[in-house]
Amino acid sequence: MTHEITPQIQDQLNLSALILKKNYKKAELTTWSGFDLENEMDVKQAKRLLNVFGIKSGLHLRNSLQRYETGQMVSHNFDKLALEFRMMTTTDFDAKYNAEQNPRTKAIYKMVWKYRFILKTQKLIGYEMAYYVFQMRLGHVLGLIQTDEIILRLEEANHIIKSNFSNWGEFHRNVCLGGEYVLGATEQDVSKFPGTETLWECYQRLHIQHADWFKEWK
Amino acid sequence: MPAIFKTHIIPKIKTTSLQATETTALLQVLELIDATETDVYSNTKKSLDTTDTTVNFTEQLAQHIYFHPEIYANEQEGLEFVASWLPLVENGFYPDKKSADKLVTFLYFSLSYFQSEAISETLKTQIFNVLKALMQSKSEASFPIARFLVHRIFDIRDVLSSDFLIQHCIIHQILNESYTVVNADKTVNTFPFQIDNDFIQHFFDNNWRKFITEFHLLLPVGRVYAKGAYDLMLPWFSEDLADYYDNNVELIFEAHKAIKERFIFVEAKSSELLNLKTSEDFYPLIASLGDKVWDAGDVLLFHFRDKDIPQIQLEKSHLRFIAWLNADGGSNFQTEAFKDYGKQILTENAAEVLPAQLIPFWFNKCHPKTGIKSQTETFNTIFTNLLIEGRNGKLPQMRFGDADFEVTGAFLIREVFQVKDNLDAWLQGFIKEGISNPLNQFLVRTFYDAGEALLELYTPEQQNSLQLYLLELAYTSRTVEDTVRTQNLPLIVDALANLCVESGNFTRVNEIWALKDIDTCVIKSCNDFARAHYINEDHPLTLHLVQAWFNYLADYYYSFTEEAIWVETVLNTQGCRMATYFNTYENDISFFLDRALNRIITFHRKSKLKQAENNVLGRISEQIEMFLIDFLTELGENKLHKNTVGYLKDYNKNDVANFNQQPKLVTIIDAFYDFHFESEPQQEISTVIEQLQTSNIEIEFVEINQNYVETILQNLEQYKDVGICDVKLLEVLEERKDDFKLWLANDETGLDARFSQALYMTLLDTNLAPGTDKETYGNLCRSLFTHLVKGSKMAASYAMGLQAMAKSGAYSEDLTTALLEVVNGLNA
Repeated sequence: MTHEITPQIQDQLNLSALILKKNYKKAELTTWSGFDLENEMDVKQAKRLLNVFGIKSGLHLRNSLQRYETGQMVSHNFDKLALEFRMMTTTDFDAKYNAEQNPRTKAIYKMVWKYRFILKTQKLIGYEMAYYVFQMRLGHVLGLIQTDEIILRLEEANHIIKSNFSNWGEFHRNVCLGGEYVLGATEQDVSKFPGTETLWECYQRLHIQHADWFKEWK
Repeated sequence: MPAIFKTHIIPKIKTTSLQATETTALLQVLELIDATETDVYSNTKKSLDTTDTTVNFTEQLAQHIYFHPEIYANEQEGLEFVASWLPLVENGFYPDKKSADKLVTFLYFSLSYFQSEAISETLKTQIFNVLKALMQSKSEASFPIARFLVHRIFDIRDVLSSDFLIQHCIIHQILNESYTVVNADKTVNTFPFQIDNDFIQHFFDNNWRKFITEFHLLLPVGRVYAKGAYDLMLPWFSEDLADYYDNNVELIFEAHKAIKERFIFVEAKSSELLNLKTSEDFYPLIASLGDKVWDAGDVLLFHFRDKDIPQIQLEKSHLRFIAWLNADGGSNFQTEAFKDYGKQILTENAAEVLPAQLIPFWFNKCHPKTGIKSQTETFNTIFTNLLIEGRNGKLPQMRFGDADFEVTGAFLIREVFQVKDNLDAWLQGFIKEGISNPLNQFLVRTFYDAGEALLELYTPEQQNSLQLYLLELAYTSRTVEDTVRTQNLPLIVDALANLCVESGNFTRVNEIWALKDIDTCVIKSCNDFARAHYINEDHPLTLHLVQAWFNYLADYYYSFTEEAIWVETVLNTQGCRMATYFNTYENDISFFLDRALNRIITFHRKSKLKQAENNVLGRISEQIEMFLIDFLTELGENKLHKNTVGYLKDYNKNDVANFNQQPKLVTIIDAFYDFHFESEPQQEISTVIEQLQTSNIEIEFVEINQNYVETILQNLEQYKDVGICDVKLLEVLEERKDDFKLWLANDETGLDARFSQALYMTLLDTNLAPGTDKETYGNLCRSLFTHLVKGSKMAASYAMGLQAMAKSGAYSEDLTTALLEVVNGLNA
């Protein structure tokens, strides 16, 4: 049985709005999954995404959720690097940065260096928990997870996010930073594949379309 | 009265020479031919002694009536003459041998005229009726007629005559009952028309081979859709003929040839001949099909076999059939023989009567890489019905080595597939097709049937390939129809469970466990499988496993106990076992237990909070409580860290989520609390201060012992809260720092690390920086720290940390310098 989406649940689902929009531009944010279950192309797209995440079953999904929740996906690595950088002097860092050849790693160094103190406690939890909610919604398309379980897990996710961030802006910034950390630099890039948007672009659009959603941090 | 008699015969009859009995016979003959108006009749009648009624149709009289060769000179008259015999022969007045022989000579001679249109149908019928009557008579006339007919029929040099006789014999049912032979001693023997030694002796000079040869020549001759020699001879087939064939195999092959030709020219099946059987129920013509290489015709012959032929006689033929299908690159698939007849060998029979050799044949023909599409479709359909459908996942029973043979998975793997060193590549060939391909379904059954033997049949690497193959197949079943899925998925899961018995690889265990989401039919087996691995009391516990238990507690909770259902078993049964495991664990485990209990209690709290609105979630808290009772009762008190015990105790003070429903659990936690907080000499801050004050006395006599070092340590850790910086205590150590370092090195309670850490914290305290009023204390700490840490394995990391702190710019210049000095001291 599918539960109704109360304003409270909608607010919690919105925690994944940015990630959902980024992964699926046409997503309908006011539904449980964001995908139209009646539309074959929509379901296919959801399947493709699940495949990308390596989620074949409910068990895979829950294991993945567990990894996001405990920070194994992003935060652990981020924190390890940040800890190292917190001990370093600028000169040390410059040396390490210059010694690195891989531009992606360099970009990550740069980012972590910048946020090594600012995100000491929050790490990239915002990004991870947004993914946590997003993957639940994705799993719902194939029936890997039912809405009552989503509600139960949403409460926890909501609790974790709300206790780490104090407003939507701060949270969304964390999501964007997480995206930057995982996917690399997200500067405007005219050479990119048409139709794809960076998280920052999604963020801007989202705030225009649903401005009232992201004002109150309940 | 027939004109022939009137003009030619009656005038010639001489009554004078006749006996009285003969005369009576003659009278009857004359009456029969309606010659009562003649002189002969009236004269005879007069001369007859009416009292004597005995009838004797003697040879002499017979010749009077029948032996008139001069009439045969005219074929038309001759035939009419023969036809006119009918009333006589029907009443038992038969020609003698001489007349019969003459008749046969005449018939030989005039056969072409006889069948011509000049002879009316009525006449022909009459003549054949005469012949029939003669044949059936117990007289000397019978055998010559029979021999005449048989010889003319078998003489296909004159096909027209042969066929003419055959057709009329069939119409008038001549040659289907018996013939009579009168021996030299006048004894009479009657023989049925049966192909046996007597028959061969009478008609073929006692030469079987001659008969068989002519028989084979005659078989294909005839008209399409009309009866022919075969139909005429049908009643003649006998067990003797079958015996003869049985003893002369080369003649059987000729018979096959003749039957095939008959099928081609006459389009008739000859199944009676084909299915000749001996008295011992042996079918020589069918059984011998197994002794030669087949062509399309043989498929045909085999198809026409009797359905009750014992299995053993067909065995070799089945193999020949397979060889035929394989011959010439499989081109025989395209023949009509296969489409119309061969296919039925496979579709009409059950697997039980077919040879096991069909399995490798099928795999060769339908292999995804080499199979020809048109053929694979046909064969897959056939073999699905034959080997897979309606067997509930079991492998079929087939024939192998002349006996019923239960096909087993182990046999197939060892003898049929024989994949030794490239199993992975071999399986890869099949994976792409998915479970909808019957070959894959059959393989699944094979592996399922092999069961635990798989572990012996395959090396560990091969087992791994096999598991990957099965997993992949399982996922392909998502897109196939329900029946295929529900039939095969349980078998796949079962085979995987057999393969994955070695404990430890939980990634693989999870992969198999996850298959439960594909279909409801495997939920139970998957869950049982996961439970058996996660709760395997035969294997020792590991920290990873315990960690996994409580990781899955989350799934169990969030899914309202629908997922990870084995967690319930963990909670119900594993408490004592886990405690025993940790009791015997050598290293300090308190950190791990702290995390574990923390997680368990997190879910206990969640469950308690939800208890009011959801009963299912509420029950989890009860299960957790029971688990904790089991676990904590058994667990050694020293295994938990003090903080953990404190946490447990505090948790119980909570209003909503606590253990108060389980007084027993509360008692146990209290026991832990007493052990850690009451029995151990606890020194509250006030008592420490007292001690510190008394310790001023005779400080130079203080020996470095546990109590003393702990007092200093407490001072170092608590000087901020207490506000006392006991310089004197430190000075003593400073003086005897080598002794102290040695003492710390021998200490086993971990004071060493605590001491270094406490000192390290004082270094970073700006209140102790140079230039403040507690500078002395700070200097002592720095000096002591440098001395104690220098040369230890922690030296480098402390140095790095201090350096970073010094350069962070958060400290005054004095302190920065002081810190850098310490760094230099450590690195020196």
